[in-house]
Amino acid sequence: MRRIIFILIILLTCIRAYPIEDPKGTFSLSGFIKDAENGELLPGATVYIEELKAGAASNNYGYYSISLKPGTYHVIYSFIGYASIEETVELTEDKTININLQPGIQSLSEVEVTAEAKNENIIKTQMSVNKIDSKTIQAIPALMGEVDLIKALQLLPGVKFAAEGSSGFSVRGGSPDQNLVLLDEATVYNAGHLLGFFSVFNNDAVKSVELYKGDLPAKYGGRISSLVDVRMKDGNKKGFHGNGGIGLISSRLTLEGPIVEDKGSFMIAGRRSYADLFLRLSSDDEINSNILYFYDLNAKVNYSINQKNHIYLSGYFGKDVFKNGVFGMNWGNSTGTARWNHIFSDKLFSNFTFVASNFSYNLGVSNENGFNWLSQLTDYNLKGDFNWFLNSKNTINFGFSSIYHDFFPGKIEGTGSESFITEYGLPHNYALESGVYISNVQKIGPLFSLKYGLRLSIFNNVGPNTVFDYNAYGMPIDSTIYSKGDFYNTYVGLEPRLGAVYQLNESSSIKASYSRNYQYLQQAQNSTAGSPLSIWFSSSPNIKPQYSDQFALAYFRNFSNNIFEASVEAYYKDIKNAIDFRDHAELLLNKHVEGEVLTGTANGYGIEFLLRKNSGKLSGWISYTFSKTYRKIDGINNGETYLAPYDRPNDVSVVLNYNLNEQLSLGLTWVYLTGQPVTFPVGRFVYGNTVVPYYSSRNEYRMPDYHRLDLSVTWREKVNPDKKWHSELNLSIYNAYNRKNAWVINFQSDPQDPNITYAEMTYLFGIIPSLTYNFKF
Amino acid sequence: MKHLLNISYIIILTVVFSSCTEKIDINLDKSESALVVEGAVSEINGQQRIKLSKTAEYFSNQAPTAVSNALVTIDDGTESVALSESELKNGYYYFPDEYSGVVGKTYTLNINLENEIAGKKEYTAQTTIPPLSDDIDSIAVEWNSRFEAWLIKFYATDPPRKDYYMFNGMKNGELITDSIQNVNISDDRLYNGNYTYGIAVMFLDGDKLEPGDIFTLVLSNITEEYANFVTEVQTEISPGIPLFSGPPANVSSNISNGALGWFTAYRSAFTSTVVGERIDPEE
Repeated sequence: MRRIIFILIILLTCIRAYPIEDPKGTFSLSGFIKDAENGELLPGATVYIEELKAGAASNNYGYYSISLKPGTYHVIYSFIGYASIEETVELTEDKTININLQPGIQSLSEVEVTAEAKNENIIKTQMSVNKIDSKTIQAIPALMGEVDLIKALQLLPGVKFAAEGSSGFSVRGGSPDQNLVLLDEATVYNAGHLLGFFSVFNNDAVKSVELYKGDLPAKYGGRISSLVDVRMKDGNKKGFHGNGGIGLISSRLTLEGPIVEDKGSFMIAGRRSYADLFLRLSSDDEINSNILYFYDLNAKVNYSINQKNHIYLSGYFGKDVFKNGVFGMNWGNSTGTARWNHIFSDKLFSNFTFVASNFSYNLGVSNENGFNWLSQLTDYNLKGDFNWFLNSKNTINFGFSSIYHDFFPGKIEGTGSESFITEYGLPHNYALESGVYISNVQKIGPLFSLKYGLRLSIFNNVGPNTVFDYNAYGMPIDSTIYSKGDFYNTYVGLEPRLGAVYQLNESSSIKASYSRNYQYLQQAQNSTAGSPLSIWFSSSPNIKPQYSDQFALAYFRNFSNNIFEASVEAYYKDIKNAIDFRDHAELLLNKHVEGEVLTGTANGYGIEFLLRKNSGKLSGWISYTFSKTYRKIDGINNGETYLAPYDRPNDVSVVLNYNLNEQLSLGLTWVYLTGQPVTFPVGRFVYGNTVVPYYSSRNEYRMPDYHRLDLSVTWREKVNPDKKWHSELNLSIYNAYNRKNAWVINFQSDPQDPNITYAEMTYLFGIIPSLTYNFKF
Repeated sequence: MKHLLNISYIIILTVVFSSCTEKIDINLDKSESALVVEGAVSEINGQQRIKLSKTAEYFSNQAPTAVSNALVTIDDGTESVALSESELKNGYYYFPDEYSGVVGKTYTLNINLENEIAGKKEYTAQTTIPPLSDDIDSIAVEWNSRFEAWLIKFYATDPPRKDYYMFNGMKNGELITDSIQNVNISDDRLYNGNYTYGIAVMFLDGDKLEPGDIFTLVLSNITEEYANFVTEVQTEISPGIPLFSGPPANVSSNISNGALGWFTAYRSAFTSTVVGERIDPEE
């Protein structure tokens, strides 16, 4: 432990002792980059100094800072989808320039393309990352018209859905619980509504989403496959506006506006489904007494105290409710985030965050034999992040994070007068997950950049708790009791994150990266699609943390003045202490769930091709991925290597959007995936007058290949500057050629003669058209 | 508990989505055949026997082949008895008529085949009879109009130890839970050491019983291993749903040398009542 801190200090001093240019005699150019129409901060916008042929990008809060020698510079500010601004800056002292970029969304083709400023994908050291803004997500044809961020991510190279229609997804062969999903810095533990068929993210409230595939910035940790960083809109600072829509599944309304003009603003977005309203119309008592809905509410307030201090408060509350007669269940997430941006100096930007988040579910029966079952997970997270714009060649990020987890896997208790259930509960389980990190992005010469960072993660199990020892069959044989506040178990992980980019020319570069990630929490779930009744459990004396090493190499190339972006990325991933579960594992309400866990190794490799066009009448991307993922775990498949359930070697996604004119646009999505690996019976026997299957090796067979075409047409009302109200009508067709994609294949016995057996596939969605009306004012 | 969840998912799925099924052709590899043993030391009519058969190809569409002419013996630690094969039903080996199991005794099954299966001739298995929870007050058979089914309610005091129960049902002395998918398996996790207050232990389709029938609930205390085995079989034969089903896996076995199936032994408590009219007490 002491050694690791020592290494960190060395690393810090190394950077300081290695000034590439004398920081004396330089001045800083800094400020915020915003959207000119609504005042939203623009993260990831580029600032390009023509004289130096170098630049910088704004951070997550739209702040940028560059150190320059005194002189006159041509500075180009640009961001995808916005018209660039060129400023001539005479730098004789530290200067603050806040920039407002004009969006060019209504007529994409008119946006001037600036060659030098738009090749940030070539220059940046970060690789294995994809960014999508909410406008792009909006344009993708959606299942039942419900625009969905997670479904959009599933169309990116290296990302696959866990099962059709599921909000669970696998990144580079990893399990869905290996993805860190953050909404304004708060962890979302279950991203699905309606059994996962719709995601919890209301696209109207979302500003942007970034997906990091394995190569996480040192700032983040705790998951080994990916980071999904979702940012909510800040709220319009210029005027009061709203937008919303009426769809097949739900209706939405978002309101935003300034609190004090140019100082603070708010955003509030709500969504509620109404399937149950239709059920109520049914004449069948069985159906019309059902209650089934979900809702979510996003709210955010921000306020600039002055140029140096900004405060953000944001929250998410979502719930699913289902009731059928006396039986009812509900589940949901709530998160709250408070952030304070403080600019210590033009070169040192800081952000302090406090997050509280909760995921819970509840099910029960409300009659005289009634019972109630509750399970929840609560997090409190405090973190501080610093961006130190040292000089024009070095940007250092450092900070800390500490999360206190309170796991409550489940309690069931009788509620009725004649309830036979005595209280049965699993104890709370507490843990502290902390991390400190430092990283630097350093330019070495005009063509070569390095990013190197180190994250030190520390995980403590905290008492009170009773820890069991298990034998080889997962049976408890002994136990140890720890008292309150006892830090009875500690794991330390050293996580280096390295990356390099070498620019071959203006429009192409080679990148490489290596990263190690530790994961201390996982889901007790062995189904492929995932359900809301999931239980998260932590590392413990019995369960070592999973960790992964990922090596990646990429070639980036832009064509036609950066209108087309192409990339090829290859990776190899190796996971230690990979988790799977015993055959016939019992994962719910089980005190000895740790006894059901088996660990081993997992590895995978793949190559991802992406061709993307971000501007013009036709935009979208085409991607192809070839990948393999294996697991080898003692106790499963006789200890022999088997395919992970997310091994789907060939994966093609085509996502196109064509703006016919200002009023009409067309969308098309086509996906193709190799069938999921599955275990099928090869033999059978009869026991108790029943035909019982006898199986092949684990995942030896495959389901039929999956493919699907979705189409959409969007009609927009003609832009009329006198009219505030704008309408839009969207027709989506999901599964346009009505492909029957197998969701599951079951083997059945004929009820008349059980000796006659057959295979039967279930498919979920045929062709589903849907109409959505959207408006904004 | 698992079943309760399964039911809730199925209800939600059918309410929300109209999923469709259709038959599909699948090519499956061939498998090597293995011996299958099904046997019990039991008081339930017709259950005390050892049945020997062989596994078959999954799509063979025929009844399994019986294994005849084996030497089958049961040893309870003090004496060993030989079982005799039925002349009417091949592969069924019956105990001597007066044979009955004793709580706490360990029983060893030995099988010696006439011809090798998967290279092995000799097979063995062992099991113990757990103590019986026979502090039973009564049972009630109630009509549930919502599901059009009979609900069997159970009033008893559960002993303060870990128990695993198997519930069978009889109509006028005939076993109606004669298939393993109809048997109900339960542990006492939720009511250990308590009064059961009429917990529902069985659902029977409306046409299984008629008013006036004598219904007998058969409670058997079984071993944890056998309870797991039956639950595994019930899981593997029910349709999988990707939302909550784990990967398919072979059911366990307590027979040696790679044979499949289970050898079990238990004592049972029989409680009877007369079935009333189809009137739902909740209405």
